[in-house]
Amino acid sequence: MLDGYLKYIYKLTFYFLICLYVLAACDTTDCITFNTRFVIVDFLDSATGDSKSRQFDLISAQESQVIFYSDTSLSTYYLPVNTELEQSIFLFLNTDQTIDTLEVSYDKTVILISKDCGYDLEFKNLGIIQTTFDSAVSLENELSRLNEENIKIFF
Amino acid sequence: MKKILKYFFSALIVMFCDLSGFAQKGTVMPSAVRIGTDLGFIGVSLFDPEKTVFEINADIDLYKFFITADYGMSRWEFSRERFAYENSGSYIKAGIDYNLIARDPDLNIIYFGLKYAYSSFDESFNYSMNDPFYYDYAEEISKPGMRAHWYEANFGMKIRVWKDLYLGWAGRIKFAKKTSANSTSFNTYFIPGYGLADSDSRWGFNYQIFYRIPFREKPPYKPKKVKEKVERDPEAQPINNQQNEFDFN
Repeated sequence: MLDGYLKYIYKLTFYFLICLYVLAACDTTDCITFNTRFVIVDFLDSATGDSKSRQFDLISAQESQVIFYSDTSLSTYYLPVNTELEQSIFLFLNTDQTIDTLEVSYDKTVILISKDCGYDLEFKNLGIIQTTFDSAVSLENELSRLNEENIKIFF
Repeated sequence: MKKILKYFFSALIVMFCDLSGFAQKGTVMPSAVRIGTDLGFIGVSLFDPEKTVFEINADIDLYKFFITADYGMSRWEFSRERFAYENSGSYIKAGIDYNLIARDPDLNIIYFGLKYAYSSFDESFNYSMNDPFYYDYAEEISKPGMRAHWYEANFGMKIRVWKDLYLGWAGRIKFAKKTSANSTSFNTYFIPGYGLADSDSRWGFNYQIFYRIPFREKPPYKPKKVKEKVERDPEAQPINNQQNEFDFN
């Protein structure tokens, strides 16, 4: 029966494993992620390759009722992608009332972090489908808060 | 982790060599079956309204070795303000354990072993998005017929507490997980029998109760070195056979 050395080995190992299990359970999931829905678009001087401000009367996207930027001159713009679809078309209204477009595609992954943290959306494989800008290059293909730029546009 | 697995597999090779020795001498005859369930899972099912888990455990006594099998069913559903998750499925695990104290008169066992595990399950995730830039929407992602398999290295004890009733615990490392291809945008969250799917290895703990059903006597232990000692010193009498070094072969 449960006596002798087995009793002590059983108790010792059982309590040891219970402690390990409790410690492992205390290791809660981190709710913070670096995922973002914003594409960072950087405008550069085509002659020098340096960042250069470009003025737009308006920046928005197809399917969106929101104006992301209005009458703004910046070298870096943060543009939100459409999270339901796997492609977005950004519209840039220039000061001369012409419109440039930038169409991008990406793969969306829904990640359930935990019951308490909820879910998160991850966007990878960002690519340029087409654009009316003279020259655009896709750099970082994963949307992350750690990125400095995703797309470079030369003008 | 790699070192642990290296030593574990070395021990398994020794174990299987030992088993082949038994087989050659014709001593691998099942003597009992032990059937049980996981008490921890019953507790989870009783106290966690979102989770239902049930597991049946069985082993067949092959002297130093045990053929083991587990079958489990699980259901996990939870919902929060903007999302709901549902997972239901079953799993089966089969393997072999090596008993480190096969001489124990109460048939207690301290064991280590290896199992192969296979799980099939359905998973679904619904969420709604209040999007300040585009439009609000809701998405429902279903993943029916998902499959996963992995291996488990386990170590534990089963101790007789009353007549043929045994209590046991098992610690296990689950590793080499493979999940079937995902054709949806939702990452697999939970695998029945394995746990959260975010890690390629995971460890678990089980607390089990068993009932042993014997169907034949275990073969008696054969004293191996008694004869040699008698030949060396004819007047010497073995005082207590239990003190001699016995071999089950």
